[in-house]
Amino acid sequence: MTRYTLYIAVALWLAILAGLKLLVRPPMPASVLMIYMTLSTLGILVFVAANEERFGNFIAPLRAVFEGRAPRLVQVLVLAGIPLLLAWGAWLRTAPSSDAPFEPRVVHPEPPASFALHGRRIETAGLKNPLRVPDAAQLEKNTAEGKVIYYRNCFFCHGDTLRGDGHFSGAFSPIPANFRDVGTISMLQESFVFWRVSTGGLGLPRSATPWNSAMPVWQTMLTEEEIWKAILYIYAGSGSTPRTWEEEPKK
Amino acid sequence: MKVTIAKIFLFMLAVVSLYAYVGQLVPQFEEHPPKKKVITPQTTGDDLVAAGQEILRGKGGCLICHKDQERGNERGPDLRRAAGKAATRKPGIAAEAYLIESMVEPYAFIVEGYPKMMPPAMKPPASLSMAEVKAVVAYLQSLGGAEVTVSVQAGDVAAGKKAVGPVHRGRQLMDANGCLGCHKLAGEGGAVGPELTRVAERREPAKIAQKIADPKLWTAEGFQAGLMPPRPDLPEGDRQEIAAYLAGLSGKAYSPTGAASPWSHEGVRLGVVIAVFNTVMLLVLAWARSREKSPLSPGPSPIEGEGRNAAGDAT
Amino acid sequence: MARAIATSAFQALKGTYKGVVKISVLLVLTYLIAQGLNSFLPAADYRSALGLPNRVAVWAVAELHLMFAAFVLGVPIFALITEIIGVATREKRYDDLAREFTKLLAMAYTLTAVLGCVLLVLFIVLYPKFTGILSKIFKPTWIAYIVLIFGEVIVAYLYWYTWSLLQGVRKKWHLLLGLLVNLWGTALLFVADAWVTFMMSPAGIDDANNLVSLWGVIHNHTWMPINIHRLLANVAFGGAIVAAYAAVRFLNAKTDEERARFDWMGYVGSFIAIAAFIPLPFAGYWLGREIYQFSEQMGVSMMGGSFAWLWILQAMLIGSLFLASNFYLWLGMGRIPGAERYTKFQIGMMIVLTIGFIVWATPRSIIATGTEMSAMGGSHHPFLGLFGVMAAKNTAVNLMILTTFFSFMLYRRGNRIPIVPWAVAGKALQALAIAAAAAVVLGYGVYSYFVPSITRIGFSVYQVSAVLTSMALFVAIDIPLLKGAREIGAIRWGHIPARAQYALFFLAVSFTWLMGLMGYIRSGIRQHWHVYGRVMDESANAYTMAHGQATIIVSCIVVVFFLLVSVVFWLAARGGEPAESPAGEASAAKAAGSAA
Repeated sequence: MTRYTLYIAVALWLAILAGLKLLVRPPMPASVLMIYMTLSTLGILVFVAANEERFGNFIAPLRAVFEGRAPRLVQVLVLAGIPLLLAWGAWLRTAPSSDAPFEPRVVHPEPPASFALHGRRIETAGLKNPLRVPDAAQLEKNTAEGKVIYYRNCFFCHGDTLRGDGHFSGAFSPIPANFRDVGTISMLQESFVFWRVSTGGLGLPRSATPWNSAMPVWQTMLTEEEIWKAILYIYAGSGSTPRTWEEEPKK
Repeated sequence: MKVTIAKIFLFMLAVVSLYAYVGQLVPQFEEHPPKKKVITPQTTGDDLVAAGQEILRGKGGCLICHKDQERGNERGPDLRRAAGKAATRKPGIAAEAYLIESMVEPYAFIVEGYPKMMPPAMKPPASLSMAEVKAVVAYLQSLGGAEVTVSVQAGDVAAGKKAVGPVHRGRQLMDANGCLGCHKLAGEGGAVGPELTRVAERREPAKIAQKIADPKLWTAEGFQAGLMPPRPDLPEGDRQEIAAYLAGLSGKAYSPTGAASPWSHEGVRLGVVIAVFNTVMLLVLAWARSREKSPLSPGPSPIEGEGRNAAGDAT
Repeated sequence: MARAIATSAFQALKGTYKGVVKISVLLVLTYLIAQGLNSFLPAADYRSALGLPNRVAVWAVAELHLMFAAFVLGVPIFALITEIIGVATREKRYDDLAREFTKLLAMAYTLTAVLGCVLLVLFIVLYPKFTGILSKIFKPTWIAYIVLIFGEVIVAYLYWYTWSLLQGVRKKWHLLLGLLVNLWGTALLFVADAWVTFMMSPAGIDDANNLVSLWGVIHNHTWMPINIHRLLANVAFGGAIVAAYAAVRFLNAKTDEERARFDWMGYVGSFIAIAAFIPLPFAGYWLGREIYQFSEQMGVSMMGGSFAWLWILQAMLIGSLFLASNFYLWLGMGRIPGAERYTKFQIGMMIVLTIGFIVWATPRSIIATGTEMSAMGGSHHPFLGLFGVMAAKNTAVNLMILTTFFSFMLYRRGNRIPIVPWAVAGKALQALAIAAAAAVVLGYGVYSYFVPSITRIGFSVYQVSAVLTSMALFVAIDIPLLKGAREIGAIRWGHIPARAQYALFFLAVSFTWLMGLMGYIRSGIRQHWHVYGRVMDESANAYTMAHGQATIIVSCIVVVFFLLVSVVFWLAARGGEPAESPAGEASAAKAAGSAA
């Protein structure tokens, strides 16, 4: 058994690679796969090297090859295989591809301290949804109005189920935000959403590649109140709650 | 030995380079601070209005005499109606041209009932460029609810007359913040507030710096209280620079970063601390030396002596 | 005899006075140079030095100064801990170890002070206006700082020079001196932190930046978290440098005796480093929380905005630190007879560590090409997205801490077999404690996906307390459990492969690099502000540079730091010990003997 340490390690490595490549659906991006495989390699190597006996078993076959004690065929395979592997790697890196280049994009950039809305300056700090009133009936009414606004404006891209799968969604890259994803509106404050809706893709900072976002500047089409109502609806409709930093008010 | 050291050094370089390499793999972009607003011929519409509003409230110093809101000063005409009345003020001149003239050459036409006291906008203290004047006009037009007709030309951008030769930073700040709109300083400036050329003879520079932020501190005799707009938004350092400049005009030395009392001066305090520590150490040394030399005496036991010694030095 | 003591006391005082003179001269020179340059150069708000961007110049010098300051604050803590262990265990090697490192202090203090003075000159010359504003707000504190520096130098020099004088019954006075050194050092740190944290989270000033309350200025949002964070990091840093020094000496050792000694020294250093490192993530979490409380915008720009990418680097560094420390411990178990009993746990621990590392390093904003993005259905991967958030990372790091702690405990009992009658029950209880903590961490980790964020933040507190409680419980059982335990064999110090020593050195380099990176992030999130939201940086270099450039600068700083540290070690090794003439030692020993 101990003679096979090296082979077990290689097999494990290949198994992890295959597992990540084949079992994770939708496929993970190459950058993440690279991180995961690097760390797995590191884990395997550190584990092997952390014990003298294991390490000895691990490098014994390698020593045999490089010191010329292994069978001739194995030596040839290894010595020819290493340059070939490197060449393959080099080819993979340099081969032309029709993929669009990497677009480093910060998904949730920091909101500005203030932004212009209908010619006024709005401070983002401490901004709250004025229509999120404690009165349940009133809140329901606001939300229902927000729903109408949503279906007249946002529905076409963000979709009926608020999953970002509206009729036009397939035409955009990046595709519209999925409000039911835990990583989107449920981890954001309403002030952030308000900023994004009001200023649209154009209002994004450079790090978030404003030229890539198809989100319209909604303040040119909706009033402030309408935007807040629509925000009420997307939270209610997707079954999420906005992020707050204060404790919930005691009821 | 040398080989091992070289190996370790190379190992460190490898580790450090690896980290720096990973740093290259993440997205690379620089983030620049928000640009200061510069008015160009491309600036139009809302941007021009916003720029004009900023000039009117800040650098231009217009609100010292005028008002653009319900509350404000009434030494000059109400600016909310300026654009609306511009067309009818002076016969034979269009509204836009009149507004520009009223700022660049304020004495060409004086609205009835107001004194002749407005400094020309393109000369100190405001020293606006034509582009900035036009931005203010754009704001005035927007205030009246009218369409913004004014537009900036390429030739307008050059700044107004600048002072020649080195200027004290405090003076620059006074010019930039419109102090001379009301105050006279070395023969220049308005007469709404008291002359400031020798003010540091009467007041302490530190108090002057405070007064800029909070004019309620005192009011000079013969002047109306509450006229001077408080400027707490000016950074502390800038106010100190102004105070230092005024102090200099009166022949006083005032460091913008330190008060005038000799004890509060950094160098003196540093010197005192150094001197105290060195003297104490020398005294202790002399005492220890004398104990070393003195013949054995049945005094306190050595342990106690040492203990006291160490503890004494430590405190 | 009393006379001999008086002589060596006089020698000690003389040595101490030398330090005072050194600091005095430095301070005077700095003051004169700074004032001279400032009045000689034309007045300006900003200047640049020798073509170097002013930001980079101040950054590099400040970071080096900070690293050395961490070193001179960390080493006395390390020395005091080992000295106390030496007194408690009556083993002379601990005392010698403490002494060996205290010897470095004189040289290291000088270097720190020189760097600090250069930094001060740079501040006054390159940022005259801003320095003016800051020094006005902090007027009373900086003179206190100078007084503290003198105090620190005097106490530290006395601590070193009285080492052989205050032995035996008088050891307690020496320990008191050691405590004073550390109290002084901590006070220094707290004062300097007030300046730094004020720039991040200003408080105590009114809208016009006028001073309202000095205590308010000092006691701002981030002051205490940074104090605690830096204090812990200093201990870890001191330990890591000691371990690195031991590693270098081990690799260069010629005899088995030397190897045994430096192997042991590396172990002690790494033990203290890792012990102080374990609570660091918690302190960091507190700091992050305070930053969010102070300004949400600053918090978002730190965690989610432009600096988010650097956290992947940080995750990589911390993960590597965990891997390297476990690696070292496991290799170390090879020299402990009987430790092979625990080899079987390694594979499970490695799986936890690797998976923890993977979760910990999963980026929140994933880099993806257009096709990959459309395949994922947006810029969020439905499955990887779960790992990108803080809840997953907290869970991962808590489990990694728990694993590393477990490694340590296995190492500790490597060659010992408990003989107390309740050994089986005790061990079972310990296993239960670890398992319960792991379950709590995992349980809350999973549950936190189903609750709103405000509740989720609270969960990390439960996770942390579960881990800390189980660790405390484990140790509380371990001490009586191993009392009088049967030893299988003595630890064969020195019988450890060279790669373990490289791991120790790697720990120190990574730790230093991490300090450099976190220092950059902490300072960088102010972006174009001197004092966040209050005083704007209007110089041409006020931009935030690309991450690649920043990491290269951090790397250069780390290399320079290690070169300077080796100079300190080399000079100290060459310089001998002035107070330790054989006669002095002998007389001190005699005096101690007679007193006893």
